[in-house]
Amino acid sequence: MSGHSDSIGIAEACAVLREERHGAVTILTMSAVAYWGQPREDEYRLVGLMGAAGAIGLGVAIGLPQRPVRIIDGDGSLLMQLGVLSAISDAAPPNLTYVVLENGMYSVSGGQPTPGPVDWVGLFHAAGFPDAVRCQSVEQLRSALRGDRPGPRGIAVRCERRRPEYPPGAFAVNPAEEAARLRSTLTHNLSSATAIGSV
Amino acid sequence: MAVTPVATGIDASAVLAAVKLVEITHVVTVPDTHQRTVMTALGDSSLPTIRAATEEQVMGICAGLWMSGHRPLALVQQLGLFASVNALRAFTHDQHVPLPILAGLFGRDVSRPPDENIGSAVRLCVPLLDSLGIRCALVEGPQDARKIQPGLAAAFEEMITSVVLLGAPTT
Repeated sequence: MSGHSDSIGIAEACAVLREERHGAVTILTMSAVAYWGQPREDEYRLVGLMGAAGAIGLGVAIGLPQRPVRIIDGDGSLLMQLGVLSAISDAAPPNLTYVVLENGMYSVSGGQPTPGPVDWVGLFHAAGFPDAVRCQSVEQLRSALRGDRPGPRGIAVRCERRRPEYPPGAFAVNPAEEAARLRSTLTHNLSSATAIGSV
Repeated sequence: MAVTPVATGIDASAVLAAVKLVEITHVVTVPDTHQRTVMTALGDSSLPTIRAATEEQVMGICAGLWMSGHRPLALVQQLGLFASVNALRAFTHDQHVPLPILAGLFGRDVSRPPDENIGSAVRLCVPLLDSLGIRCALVEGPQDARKIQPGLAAAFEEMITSVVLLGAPTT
């Protein structure tokens, strides 16, 4: 699926986000779950708790300051807990990048329009993010993901204004397995780092 | 006519002592009217405190901290339990993330047991938790301080949500 000149298909955006991972622990939700494919050990797919990805990602970013952490959220989902942007700014984890896939609709529930906003980048800035950009092409998204400015960073990806076709079983995710896998992976990494550090 | 209180406040130091025994690493909060002295004491301690905009965010941040290897505590007022029902449901029953929660009973008439209070936020709090299958311990005064540590520790030991309700403002 290729995007129009001023937007990116969600599947295409997810492919770029996977390719340009740069070792980030990734918390993803909503449409991204459908297009992500098999998760890596340090990727967490949130299903059944719309609006919570930002808070979970903030907790992970505070808990693992040595690792880059990336949240991939939908615009309707982020609107449900918009105040999390202020909480993130208040905690100011420099390792956190917040990616919002903005297509202006509640895609999973059928494509109904969201109540805005007009300017996600402006919202990131107004919440206190030191860095926020809008991406309307694959090239812009790759460039943004390769940036190494300290965060928290906001990336608003303008996606096609049409409801994506979801593959069958796209949201068949076991929440307990997701949480346990991420916990196991991250705590194993912590133990390893501690052991290495103590030598 | 003098009214004999059913609930009296416990000292913030007793709450902090229990928090330390549970080896809490972070406190995540939307402020609680009943726990002002606890929050002041936390501010003077070395425990990191993280501020959230909603109680649902508190639960999410706690979940993320636990997934990254820590032992966070949620400190909220009981109105926040009503506000974060969806998060409590999901983290407790779907994700099996441990959530220890300290919550004050805002609006409590301390001369009556919670279930005889006029205010629905007090009267219905324990029934709310019961309906969600969430364990809670009610601390009605210094004599109940011993309930705090096991009440919070149960979350990590049994991978559940476990709430300690403070029936009166801490001193």
